[in-house]
Amino acid sequence: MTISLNRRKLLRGMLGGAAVTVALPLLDCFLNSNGTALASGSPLPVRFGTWFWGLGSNHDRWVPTTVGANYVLSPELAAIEKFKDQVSIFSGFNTPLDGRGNLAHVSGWQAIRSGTAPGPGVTVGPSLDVIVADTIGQDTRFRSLEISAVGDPANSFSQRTPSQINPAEVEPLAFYNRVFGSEFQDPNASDFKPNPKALVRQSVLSAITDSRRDLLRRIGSDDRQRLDQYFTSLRSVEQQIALQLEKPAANEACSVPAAPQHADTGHELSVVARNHDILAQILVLALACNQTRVFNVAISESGSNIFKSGEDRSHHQLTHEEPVDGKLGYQPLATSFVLQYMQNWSNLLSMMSAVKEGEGTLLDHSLVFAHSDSNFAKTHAVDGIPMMIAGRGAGRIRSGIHVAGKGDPVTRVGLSILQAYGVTAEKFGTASLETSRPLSEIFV
Amino acid sequence: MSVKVLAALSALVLATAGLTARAGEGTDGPLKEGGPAVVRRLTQDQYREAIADIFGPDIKVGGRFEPDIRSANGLIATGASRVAVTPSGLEQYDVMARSIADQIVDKDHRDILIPCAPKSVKAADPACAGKFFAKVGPLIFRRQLTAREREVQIEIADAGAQKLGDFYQGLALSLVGLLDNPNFLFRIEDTKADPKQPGSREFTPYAKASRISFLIWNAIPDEELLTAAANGELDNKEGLTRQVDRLLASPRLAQGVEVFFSDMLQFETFRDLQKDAALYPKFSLQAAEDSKEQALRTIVEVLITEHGDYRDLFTTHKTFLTRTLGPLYNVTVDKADGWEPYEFSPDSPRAGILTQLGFVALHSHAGRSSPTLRGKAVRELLLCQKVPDPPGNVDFTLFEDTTNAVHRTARDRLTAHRSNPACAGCHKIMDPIGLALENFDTAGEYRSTENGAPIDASGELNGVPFKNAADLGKILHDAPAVPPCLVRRVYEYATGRSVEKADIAGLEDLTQHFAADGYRFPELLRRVALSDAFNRIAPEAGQGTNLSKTALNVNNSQKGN
Amino acid sequence: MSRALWLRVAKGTTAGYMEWAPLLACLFGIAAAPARAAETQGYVIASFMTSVYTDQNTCPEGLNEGPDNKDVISHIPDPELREKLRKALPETLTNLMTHRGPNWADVCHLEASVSNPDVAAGPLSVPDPGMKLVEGKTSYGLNLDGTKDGAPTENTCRHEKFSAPNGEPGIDNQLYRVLGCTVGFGPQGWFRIYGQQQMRDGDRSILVKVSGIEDPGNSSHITVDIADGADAMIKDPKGNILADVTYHEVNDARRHATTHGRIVDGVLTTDPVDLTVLKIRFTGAQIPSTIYRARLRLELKPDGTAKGVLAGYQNWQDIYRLLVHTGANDELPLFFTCPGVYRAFQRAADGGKDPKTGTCSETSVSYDVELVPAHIAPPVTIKADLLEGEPRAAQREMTAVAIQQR
Repeated sequence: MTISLNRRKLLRGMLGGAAVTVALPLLDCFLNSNGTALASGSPLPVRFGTWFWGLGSNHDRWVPTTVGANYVLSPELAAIEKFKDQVSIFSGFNTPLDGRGNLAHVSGWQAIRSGTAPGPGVTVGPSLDVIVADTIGQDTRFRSLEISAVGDPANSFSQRTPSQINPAEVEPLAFYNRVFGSEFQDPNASDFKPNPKALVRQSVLSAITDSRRDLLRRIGSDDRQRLDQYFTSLRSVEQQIALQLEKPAANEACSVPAAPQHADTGHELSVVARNHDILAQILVLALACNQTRVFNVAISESGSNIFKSGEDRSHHQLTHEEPVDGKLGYQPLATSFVLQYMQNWSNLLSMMSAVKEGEGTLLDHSLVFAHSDSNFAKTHAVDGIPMMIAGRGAGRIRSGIHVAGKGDPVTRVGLSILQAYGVTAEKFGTASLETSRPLSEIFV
Repeated sequence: MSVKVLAALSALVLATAGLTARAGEGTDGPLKEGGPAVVRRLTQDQYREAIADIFGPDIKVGGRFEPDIRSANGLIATGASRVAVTPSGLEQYDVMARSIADQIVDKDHRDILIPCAPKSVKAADPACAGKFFAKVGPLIFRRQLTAREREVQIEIADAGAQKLGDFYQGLALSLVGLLDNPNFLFRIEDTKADPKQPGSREFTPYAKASRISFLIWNAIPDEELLTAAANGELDNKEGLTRQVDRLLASPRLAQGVEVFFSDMLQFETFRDLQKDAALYPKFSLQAAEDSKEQALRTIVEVLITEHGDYRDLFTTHKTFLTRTLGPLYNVTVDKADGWEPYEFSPDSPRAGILTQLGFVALHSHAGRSSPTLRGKAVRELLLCQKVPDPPGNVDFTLFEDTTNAVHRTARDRLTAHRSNPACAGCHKIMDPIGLALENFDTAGEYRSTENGAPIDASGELNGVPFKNAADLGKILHDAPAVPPCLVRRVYEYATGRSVEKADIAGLEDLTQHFAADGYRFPELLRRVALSDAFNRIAPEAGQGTNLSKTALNVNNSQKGN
Repeated sequence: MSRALWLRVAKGTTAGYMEWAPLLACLFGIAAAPARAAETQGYVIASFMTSVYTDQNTCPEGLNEGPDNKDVISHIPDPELREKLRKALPETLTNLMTHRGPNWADVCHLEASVSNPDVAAGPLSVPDPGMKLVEGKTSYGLNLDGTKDGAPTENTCRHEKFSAPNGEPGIDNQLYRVLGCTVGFGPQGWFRIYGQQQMRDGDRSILVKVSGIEDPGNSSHITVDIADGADAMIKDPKGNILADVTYHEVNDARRHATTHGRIVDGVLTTDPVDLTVLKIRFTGAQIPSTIYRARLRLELKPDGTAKGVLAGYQNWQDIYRLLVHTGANDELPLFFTCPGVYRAFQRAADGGKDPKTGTCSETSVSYDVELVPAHIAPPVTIKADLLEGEPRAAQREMTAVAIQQR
């Protein structure tokens, strides 16, 4: 069922200053008959997230052997098997450094996130998620939310500049209180105030519509059809704004959780794995309640200091010190950390899949970009850093595809992401990392 | 027609018409008026230039523009008169406009870009809003705003300021209304009846200002040009000439020339240019970008800086290189960063723009060269000779295998093309030209053998034999079809329409003068800009009935959006 | 050298006498009539790694071990502190381990540095834990001292020699002897790859210009210039160094060495010359190091590249400083001990004999090099801070004093 909105009347009423309170449950009236979009054709809100793990993986055991859709799952990706068709893999993308030197455990992720390889005198700008949040995070309660599983608020890869980092939430109870505590506005409650900027935008576009007749008088008949097309397009933008002026819809997907217990934080692997999952669960529920559309998760620092109880070397040390096992062909202890990280990644995807939204899930309506800081940590190699995108982005991307980068810069992934979110970006990256070519393989 | 005959004909025309010998002197030409006016959507370049011109280069413009479309066998400049704006396109324009407006009113820019300060930043100030829109409105709409238009902008700015409690936010949102407006996004060029010539119409002064500005600079009219329009200076020949000459003398001419040649030579295809990295590691993305700029720099150097003969583009040894291009040309490039003028020796195989990467690498496959693509490009882009598409049932497998022991060179592989009657008709006009360029592999590097066999780059064009690409360049230099093709493209670029029968007399006249002017490009632009065919239209053309059916089909298919 | 030139060689269009005429000219100072114009070919060194040979005979007693983490804690008298440290991050323990000498003395560094401002006691402050040296008889490299058996000469100390894998005897490579049985130094050794990667990621370039080539197969009188490059190398998408790129030499006489040589049957060799052009990286340390009496031996290949070795002598304490940058953080991943390797270098030193004391201050070294064709443009001056500082003469003095005082 669609409500036919008489926008003129509505507008005049609003411009006159009276706030309209209309309870329009999102799902009932605004979904189209398939439940996949709003009745106007505008899509459901799409979320963006990042997920970071340090110290890469073993290339030959992580990169799927086949390229394209239905790729063959590799040993180190076993944990994501049930989400394989929702996870795209990006291998073989390089990080040219323009002679600035490879700053161990920095250059790689900074290049991916901000598009710039750091170096003396080089200005590094905002990270991808900040750019996306500037576009889609303007009208949610939080512009973005960050969490770190190792208990360090500085363990965040979300930055406006390298010295302005969005700090991470590290302790579950504190995080819960921030999101669902006293300032939380329940969408299933009854009062609401519309955003005044949207009202002004409406009057702006309405004024253009008013000029239509005068305009068409000035041009020839063939051209009139094309200009009429313009006015049709104008109406659809007006529609988008009108929807913004409605109360936050009763949101079936939003259910406020019970408060968790306080949890210790630390670098021991089992603690990290547990804290990751608790924090991620709160984060997912925050997303379901539309408290934010952008989020960032870090399971470790870029040079992961996580260690296993009983083993005296950290993940980082092991990558440098542990010999490659002759029979296995990889470093078994160091690799066990990678496998745990991938399990936690899979856990996040499970949580997002469990939230139903319309006919799909939160994961369907999200795009989560996971990546590391290096390819083979032993040598700090920054070419071929493993990257993944999970989720269907509400149909803005194709998922479940292994894309071989063939040496293209890592920023092609970042650019594709920015454009998927309608960020005004034709290029991403600087110097040799600058690219203007998004990935047509995944980018619809 | 040989060059000698053409020159003689030019002389004859000059003599009989009693024209002066001054190069580039505007004459009205044989046509009293040109074809119908068309509404053209701003191209991406034009949009960006406009924002930079009006608000300064500091204002960032980015996003996904609705793609510019090339008309069939034509230009982007003519495609502009076919395209509309889809819903997602307008959504993007609106996003961009809001981003631009927000930057303009932010603390870093407001004092520079807004000519007044509000009495209170928290309240409406119609006087200040009015001042702002009086300043930027004409630049955005490329004409004076009507009284009603001015009122509406101020009303909205005021309402916005009140609603939001912020003068600047109200102003920004009202500004969005100008930038989203079809008067900005489309070039709507008004005409008026000419009292001196009943039944005839000419473009209004603002329309003329817009047309010459886009033709010569690919930019919106600047304040001086808008003032000339307002003062009636553009109503007479002398005033128009003065402005045209001012635009031609400006450094901004180079920008306009680059945009024109990028359109004519289809340089937007550089965006997707890529070679197989395993086989051609030197051809990086940077090399692709540099090769485009190299071509444009060479063109500007010959046509503007040296004020030279257009035909010399096919023979010049002078160009510009970067460190990235060095390995592909296999020469020492002294500058570690940026562009360095470079001159190849007189006997070097690199002679003319056809031997540069910007041609040979652009018209080639990712893994190997393509004489056919290169030959087709010469025919269609430089000689304006359309080559028909291949028939649907061709078996390409024989030509895909480059390791075939018998067919080691492209020439061998293409033998079947030229002997098979179904193929020969078209391939005879493409392959011989492309085979001349086979000494340059797909990445543009020079080679004398392919798969161990020596490359034979000889052939003939229009009955004139050549040994190699350098010779081919010399033949193109003298080929009669080359100058008329350029003239035609300039005319289409200027008017936004593909040429039709009615235009032909005008084109011939322009071509003769082009030769008499020593094939100098600025003179050609000048002649077009001052011609009646450019400044006047036929009376019934205002109804736009001359637009081809294809345009209507394009519009119909967009209706469904 | 152009590929066209190679074709001419392949077709055998060079005349034999041309090999002799320039040589005679050299001997008798007569200007020879050149049969063809001498050509110049530039190269950039795309790969530069210590020469390492490994087979089952190289380290029959196994590889060296680094210092033991647990040892450090067990020596701490305070039980509370011991317990705290046992729970601490592994990184903390590592830093501690560098200071395992008496009274927490630093057992690794030879002199004070920014990261280690206290004067170090050094590797001689604790007993020699020993070190397993290479016992195999095979190594890459060159015969540097001219002897067959490593007997002492005026300038060199007694030492054992190797044979090259192709059988050539008399190879001097004491650097390999000392480090060849460490995990870090093996063919896949972390530090070989790390330094290599740094260089290829844009850390530096090294240019080689060969001029006077009459014939790429045989030229009797070539000049070889080796210089620091001012420009970073460019890689192709696969990570290989791109050919035919233009590089500028650094405008600094200290970074430039010129020597002469010859090409015989496609093999280029040079006369010894001292080279201070190279920023050799072992671990993180960036110290200018001179390769004394360095020689190149390169095989010139038909595709234009060249491959071979650069061998010579380096001050062994300089090598030690290149090896030991942070201390235990180098010992652990490379699997050696500071006190062990310091003394091993001392004993193995075979060059730079002090006429008075008879001790050798230099070690023979060999580096595998691969060269890719490049265009070499005239020198440019680069910012002073991009060049390395002066060799740490002042710091050497401090070391000498510190060691004397022990």
